[in-house]
Amino acid sequence: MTTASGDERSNILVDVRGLSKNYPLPRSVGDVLGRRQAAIQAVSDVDLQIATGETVGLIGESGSGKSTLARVMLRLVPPTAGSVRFDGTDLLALRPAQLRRIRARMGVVLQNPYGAVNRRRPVRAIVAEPLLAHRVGTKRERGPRVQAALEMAGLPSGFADRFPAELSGGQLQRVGIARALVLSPQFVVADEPTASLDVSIRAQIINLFADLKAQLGLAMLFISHDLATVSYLADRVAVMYLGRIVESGPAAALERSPLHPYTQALIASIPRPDPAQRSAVPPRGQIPSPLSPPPGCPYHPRCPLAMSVCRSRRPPLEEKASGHLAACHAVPAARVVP
Amino acid sequence: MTDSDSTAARGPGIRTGEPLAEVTGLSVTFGNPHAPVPALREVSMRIDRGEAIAVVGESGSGKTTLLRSIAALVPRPFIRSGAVRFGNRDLLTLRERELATIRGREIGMVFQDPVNCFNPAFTIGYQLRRVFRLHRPEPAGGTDAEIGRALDRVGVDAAGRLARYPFEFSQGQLQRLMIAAACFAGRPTLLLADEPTTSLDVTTEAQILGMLRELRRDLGMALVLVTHNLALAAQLCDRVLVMYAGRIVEEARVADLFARPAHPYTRQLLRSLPVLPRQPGRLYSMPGDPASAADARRGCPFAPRCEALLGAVCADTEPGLLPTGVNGQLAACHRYDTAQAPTENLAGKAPA
Amino acid sequence: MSTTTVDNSANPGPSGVQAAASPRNRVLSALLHRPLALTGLCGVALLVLIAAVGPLLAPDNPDQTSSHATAPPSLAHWMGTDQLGRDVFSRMIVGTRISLAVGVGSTAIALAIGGLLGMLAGLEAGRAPDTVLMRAMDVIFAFPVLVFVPVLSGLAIGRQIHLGPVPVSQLAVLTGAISVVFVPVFARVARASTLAESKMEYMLAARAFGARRQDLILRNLLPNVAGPLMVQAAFSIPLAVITEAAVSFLGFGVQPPQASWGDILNDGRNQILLGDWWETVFPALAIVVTVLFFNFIGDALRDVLDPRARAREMTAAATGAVVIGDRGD
Repeated sequence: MTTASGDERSNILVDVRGLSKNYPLPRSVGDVLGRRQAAIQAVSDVDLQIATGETVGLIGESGSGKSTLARVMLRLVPPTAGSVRFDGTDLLALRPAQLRRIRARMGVVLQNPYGAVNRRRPVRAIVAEPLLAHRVGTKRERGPRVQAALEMAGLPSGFADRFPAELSGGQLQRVGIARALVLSPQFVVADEPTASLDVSIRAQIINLFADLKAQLGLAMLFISHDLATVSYLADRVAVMYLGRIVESGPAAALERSPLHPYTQALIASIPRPDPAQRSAVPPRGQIPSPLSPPPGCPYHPRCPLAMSVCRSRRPPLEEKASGHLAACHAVPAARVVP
Repeated sequence: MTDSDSTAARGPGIRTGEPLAEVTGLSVTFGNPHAPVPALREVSMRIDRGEAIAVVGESGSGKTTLLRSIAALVPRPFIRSGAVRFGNRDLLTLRERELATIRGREIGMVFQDPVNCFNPAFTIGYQLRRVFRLHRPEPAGGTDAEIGRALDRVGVDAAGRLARYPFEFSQGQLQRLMIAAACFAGRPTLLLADEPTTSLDVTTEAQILGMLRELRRDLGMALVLVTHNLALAAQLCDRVLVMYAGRIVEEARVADLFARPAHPYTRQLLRSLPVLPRQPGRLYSMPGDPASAADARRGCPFAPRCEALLGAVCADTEPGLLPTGVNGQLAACHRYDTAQAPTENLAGKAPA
Repeated sequence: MSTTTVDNSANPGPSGVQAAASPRNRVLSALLHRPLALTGLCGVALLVLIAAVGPLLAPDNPDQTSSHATAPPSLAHWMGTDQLGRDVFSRMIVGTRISLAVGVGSTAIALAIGGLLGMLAGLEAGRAPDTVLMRAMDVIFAFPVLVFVPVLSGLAIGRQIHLGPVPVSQLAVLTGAISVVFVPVFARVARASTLAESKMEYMLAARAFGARRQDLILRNLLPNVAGPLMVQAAFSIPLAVITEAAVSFLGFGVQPPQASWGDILNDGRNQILLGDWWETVFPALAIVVTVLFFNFIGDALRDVLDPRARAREMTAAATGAVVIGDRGD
């Protein structure tokens, strides 16, 4: 995926090309006869690049494959095809020991703050786990690092001895963030970190991420179903539908003038906290099952702009405006200056 | 201070006639005498015919408990005081058998997670027929025809679907089915919905939202919608109740709440919402965690997080629900106590 | 302090259903605050005391025969005498040691072996090692206990069994045989627990920051699997005691002059037909009471350590939920 002015950025930290993941299904005779799919295509042919210090927002609804993409990128789940390079190193070719070493440079924050921590250990042990896993420092050296991570996550020192059962959802999520930061990673993947939190806490955590981004220069992949949340943090945004990226570009541009009909529908569907502004008509139909994706463009059954070509040929993800890509036949491609 | 005096303060023309339902002075405490867990403290609310009310709050606010209490689903021992009048009866004094004839027939309920509400072992048709037959024993044209009509109204194609099992439907479809059962199995005059769209995708939520609007318009049902999503309240409801720490802290018509929020909690909460288009600068966030009724100590439970503290009175005395003087809007804040702050009234001022 | 920092004073944490600080404290408080569990705990402590110190304090030598044969309970002999004139009470005290030792010992061995096998199976879920292990467990589970254990134990009677160069007593063979029979149940508990924990997000997070396999098992899995295993142990110990008693009752257990409760029962088998009840009733009562004590403890432990039961209880307490599967706010 190229960016503004077609230049390849030289400081790409995470480089994903052609990544696909499908889950094979057992087939019965009826399946074969009925030409049902042999696999669920969770992620199909995804290209994504994240530069150092850049935050990329990944938006999608259920079935979009956004969480699967994150897991495959971190090699927590083996991909079916494609490559993932981290700082030039091919993640998929590494041996377990090398992979573990590289994992020290990545941090993960998950959605459910209650499930993401071992409830039997105190906070200090939870945050220290990555240090222990990589045999970093002695016990005495680890203490200050844990404290520093907790402080960065906005938890005062008294929290180190508490147990998860005593903490609220927001506080637990901060523990998860502290744990993700304790090894001073270059890259953090946050998978719906605010979805389970109260509204007032959500704002705190969004601001925390913004602060961390500014202070630590982290590269970040921020996954969410909510574009409003992501718009506060992301430099660029990619929109996924049924396992494919259908639009990507600078956050401001995507929000102001979304190109793909699905993105437009998504933005229009978000209820506004203003009774005077009634939401626009939502898209009709529902998200198709990944078991039987529509032929051609996956969105065409619900798309107001659908043309006959949309039913037969899948639109490629291509540049429609500077740095702004979309996979739609109805949007004219950017003119390439010879 | 109970909120029954506030009824008079609501101003003329706001509410006339008999309410459809009314909650008065409801207090609910869970747990046991050694470890009590208060959930609601002296809550009162009024539901008029055909009116859509949003009950908005975060964790611990007591909003779900309030909704359950209206349907008399909270076990009697936990109810410390109060009454829930529906028609001319106090639901909290009725026996389970009598309540069973009201729930589902006159009061419809929709819950958050549709998957949990259907038994995975039986077909949709079997379950729907049971519910429909329970409340409409002899419909004209047969039960299946009734069900088919209901499914049409909620946008689910009934053809051949009744023989399918719940796992064959999407979340959105299951939620529509639940709404169909709630609205059409009986003839409800009141629909209670607890976070009905929280587990749905945004596009599906928008569809359900539109559908609920239509249904309300066609059936004239009153609606009590519990949600943490203020925007949803703005889109669907006529009146909004904001809850915090087991009490109602603000009550207003929907336009007033969003244009001129009176209670500092509402004001701060609205400012915390990330909206599109992205506003420049940092997103506002208030400090601390949402309090629940069990955290309520002396003084106003919101005081630790409030940015519009009046003074020592906020830490000493809990404010009652007071009129702000605008369209019957009420807020539990000392700033509207003319004895305390005659000149510092926030009402009528735009949010900071 | 920026607004992103947590303000301690604003809210001390989730209110209402607060768990006491550490898991250890919760277990202790669960046991100490429930009257039944406390009874069980005291009862077991008493039994252990009797087993340890009792024989030194017994009124009579348990092997001492006398001419007062089959005498009913009296001041001189609190539980009467058996057909050889031996004091039943003293024999019961000494028997406590053996019954408990076999019961607890076999359970401990079964827990260690079964727990390990179950965890390994759970980690390899769906793949060959899991299938092989669990089918092996199924086979053992199918053994008829009261054929298998008596046979093994009986083979050791009167013979010198050697495990390599080490002589193994008949009592050890008995304990070992009973533990074999209990291994599958612990394996199943450990496997189920491992499967459940593996799905939890913190395991995924641990893999994501590069935790090694053994770290995952020792630090994350083990503490959470130990709970259900402990609960199972509390229920298995009394079963092991009953099994030993049954085997001894059949005559294949501990041999005279040593005696466990089962042996005393066996000795009294013929007496009861003559109306002399004390040699059967007292051992039977002892077994019943032991089982009860351990079950009380097990119930309390399960309430604390079984995550699903706890979650349901917390939800019910916090929200007064009436519907099964209802999730309150």
